[in-house]
Amino acid sequence: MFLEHKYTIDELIKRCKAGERKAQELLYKQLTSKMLGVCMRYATDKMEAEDMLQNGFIRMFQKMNDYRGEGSFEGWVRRIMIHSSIEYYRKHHKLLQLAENGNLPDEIAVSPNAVARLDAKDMMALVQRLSPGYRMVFNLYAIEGYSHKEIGEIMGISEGASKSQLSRARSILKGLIANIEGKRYEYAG
Amino acid sequence: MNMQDNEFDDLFRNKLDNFEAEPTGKVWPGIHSELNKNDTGKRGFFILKIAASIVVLLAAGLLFIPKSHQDQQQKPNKIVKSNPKAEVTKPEQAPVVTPVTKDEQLVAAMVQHNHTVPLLVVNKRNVVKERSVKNATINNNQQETIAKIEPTAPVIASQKPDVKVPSATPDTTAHLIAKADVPDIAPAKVKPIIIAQAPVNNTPKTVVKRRGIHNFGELVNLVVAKVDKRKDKAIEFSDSDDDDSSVTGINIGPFKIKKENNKD
Repeated sequence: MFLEHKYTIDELIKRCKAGERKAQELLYKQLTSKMLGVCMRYATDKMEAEDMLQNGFIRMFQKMNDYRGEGSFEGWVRRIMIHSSIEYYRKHHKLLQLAENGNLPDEIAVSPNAVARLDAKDMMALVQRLSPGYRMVFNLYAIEGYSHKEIGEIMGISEGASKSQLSRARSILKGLIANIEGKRYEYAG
Repeated sequence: MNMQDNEFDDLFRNKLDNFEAEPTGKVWPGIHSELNKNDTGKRGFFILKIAASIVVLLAAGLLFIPKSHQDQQQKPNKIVKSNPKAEVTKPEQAPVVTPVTKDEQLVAAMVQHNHTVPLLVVNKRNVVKERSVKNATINNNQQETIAKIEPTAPVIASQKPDVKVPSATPDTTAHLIAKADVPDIAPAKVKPIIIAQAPVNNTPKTVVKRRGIHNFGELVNLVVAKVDKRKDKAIEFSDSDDDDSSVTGINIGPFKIKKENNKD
């Protein structure tokens, strides 16, 4: 029975390259939870994330033959998801907001404990509250580990713009966390 | 103390890097339909192969029956379609025949070695694949080939009664319509031969059993007779007095085509 058979990832990849629908579905099921996690960081909400996810998978299956076993397959898929997410924003948001000059927020101090106290769901919610441009850069730098140069290339902005967007992103996040902390103290008091 | 930027980033990365979430049910169908748009999907490729084979088989079969009309006078064609049975497995008997006698060995050798034998039905699976069967015209090549086996042919022919199925008299067995270009056959893979069956009716006819194998069709009939013990052979060639072979009967799985051969 086909469903009973446990395929390895390599087997699935091979079959997907051949265009086997069933293998494609199995591979999708294998990867989708993680990849949705990736897309959600780039999206405003889960619904948007699923659009990015869908586009990402379509692209992945279409480009399947490009993957020749060099490097981690999951890493390869992740990159596709990230590009899919950024492409989604290019389409749906006319302008990726660049760093604004006015009203720079004060440098807010937040303790590591405060950050550590946040669970993953809270953190995700915070990231999603960022404006799209800041969100992209923060994800690419802080989570994926791209350099400012690489971010510049990916997003079509300058290195300098990438740097300033990143620091803005951090400030806003800290501010949000501080608010949470503040409320915590209020209630604790 | 204000933490370093790295520290801040790390805290976020540690918790978000492996974040997982379950997608709703609409995601996969969306992917699926988009992929279907772009390519036909190879899931049905196997089915397609079978379908294609059947289509070609039909076409070839239809092609050959009119041909034998031209050769002999107008004969009514009976196309009998049977339900799919396990008869498809019959051709697989071919490999099972263990050659014992010298001529059986020859026949077996002929079956195995394509260079002297036209393609025979050797099904590995129950998939009937079609071999492009062309109309036979005896040319020099074939004559040579037949001459090769001629010496032992009489021996084989005489043994025919032993292996014959009751109603399968030589004249009722049909001839395979095959391309006489034996060299062409050699490199090709062994595939089922489309055999048209003459109507296996026990009408009294003068059985003119010719000694030896005079054409390609007779050769195939001989081999098939050894293997296929049914009344209606998987494929039969007409046994006309001329040296042309034409398919007069097919009996493979769901396909049964018989040609009423009322010639005398």
